[in-house]
Amino acid sequence: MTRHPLLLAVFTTDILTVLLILWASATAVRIALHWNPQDTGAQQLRLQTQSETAALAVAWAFGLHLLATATLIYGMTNILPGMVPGAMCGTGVLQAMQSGGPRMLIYRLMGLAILWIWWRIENVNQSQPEAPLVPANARIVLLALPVFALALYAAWQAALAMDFQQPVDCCAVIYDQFHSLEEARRTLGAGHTGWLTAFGVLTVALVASAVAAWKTAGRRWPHLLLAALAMAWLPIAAIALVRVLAAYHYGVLHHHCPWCLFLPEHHLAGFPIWAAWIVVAMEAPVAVALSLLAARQAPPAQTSACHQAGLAARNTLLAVLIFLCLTVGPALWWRLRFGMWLTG
Amino acid sequence: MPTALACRNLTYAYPNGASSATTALLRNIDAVFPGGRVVLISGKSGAGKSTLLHLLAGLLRPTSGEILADGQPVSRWLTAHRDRWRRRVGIVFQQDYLVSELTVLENVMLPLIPRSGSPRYWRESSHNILARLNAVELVGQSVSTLSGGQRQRVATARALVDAPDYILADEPTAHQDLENAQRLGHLLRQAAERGAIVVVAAHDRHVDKWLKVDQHLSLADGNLEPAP
Repeated sequence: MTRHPLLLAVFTTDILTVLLILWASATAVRIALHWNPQDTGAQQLRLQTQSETAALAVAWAFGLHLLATATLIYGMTNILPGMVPGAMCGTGVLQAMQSGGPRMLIYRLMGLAILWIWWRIENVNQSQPEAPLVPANARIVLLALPVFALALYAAWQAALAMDFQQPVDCCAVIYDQFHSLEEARRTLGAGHTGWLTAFGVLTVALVASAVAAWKTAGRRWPHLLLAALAMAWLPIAAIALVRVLAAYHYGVLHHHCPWCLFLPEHHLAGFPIWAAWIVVAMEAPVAVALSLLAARQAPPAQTSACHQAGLAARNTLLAVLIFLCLTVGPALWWRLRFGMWLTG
Repeated sequence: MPTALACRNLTYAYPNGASSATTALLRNIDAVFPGGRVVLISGKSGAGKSTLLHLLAGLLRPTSGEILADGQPVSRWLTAHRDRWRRRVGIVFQQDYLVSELTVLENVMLPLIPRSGSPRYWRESSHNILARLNAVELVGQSVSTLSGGQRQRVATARALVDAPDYILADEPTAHQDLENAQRLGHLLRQAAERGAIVVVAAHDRHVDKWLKVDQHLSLADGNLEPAP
């Protein structure tokens, strides 16, 4: 097991996050069992006060989780590769973490998604004096607890597995994916032209639906369409980025590594690119969740939920445009500069 | 202007020493304080008059029951919303809670700062209210040099400077001579005439010399009832 300060800091922050969510969960259980907004008895009034404190704890947990995740990604891509023999980017570090590494990242993203929805709903809740969405958010907190506990356990396993004496082969992971150049030019049986076309078509559709959802925040179908398109866009955008467009950052073909984008020699482009991708993954479902929620609320909360759904759609649009600029932009620049595409 | 401030089934209990038992200071109080009227709450020291005013002002949460402002349960609102509502409430505390680092004028201007308006407007409003409370000569002085009565007049000016919709005054003339008490009584009456809700807590038996009261309630043994 490694005791690198960065991993210890992330691990400590994770423990704190779980403790905060655990504490909020105790209140969430009481809310789930006893919440009655019509009651003015001592128990209900105590619960109302506790629900505000619990919301504060979850907001802190959300902030800490974001901070720890950003620190972990920075460490995995810019600090730990220098310590793991054979690692040149996050791919080698993940290899050193064995199965705990990918699981830790998946649970982290799941936790982020859950608290992201919580945070958006809490914005609607806080906009109303009588906080009508306290029970809904209490259930979300209860859902978050096991995910964060699993993320902590996976982080522990990943830290246990790391051994700075044990070499890894970072490039083998990338280049062993294919045995011939022809294989390198195809992904899941389809050529890269096909993936790029799908990426282009879906991006245009996603931008159009995000604009429609943003401008018609009170209607449900544009948000449903936005979420559906985003779910289709996310894997295709990731494939188009890693398999085709990242080459214009690297300056070489067939280096299908998502982690090298985070390196300083590639201007740390991975941070804004993947952050934009994550924002699309979080905000599009939030937009639909809020528009569905709006339909079930009384008029003041409904207006606030519609407003938040519109904001989520606008953020999705901005994130897609940022992703597009940072992925397609370098390819176009290459074409203008050299008069041809990297693939010839 | 508000139509009424009310308490419904209001109970307030505080912890009884180290044990988990509590003592109820106010018990199931039902009362309505209508707009445009001056209501006096009297009672012995320790009867719970200040606590009731703090509850009405949203500074304390009830143990059970609720405070309704124009029918809205403000005591159950989220803190941020309750704080925003409290900007409409002017409170004269038993202690003056003046900021010792600021001058009299700056202390009185404080409630106006979160509002829109220019510093000139803040200064003019503050001067105006201090003049009406016979304290205009104090404007540039540090509050640490003031007497008890002067401090209380400055604190009262601070509570009234923003023409609040709800005025809750806790023993506002405890350190005042009759002339200054009558000035304050006149101001509170004027506030009621413009539609504000005015609730005054006092154990002074001579209140009628400086304040024209529309309704007189008595607080005893945790119950609020019309005074005999």
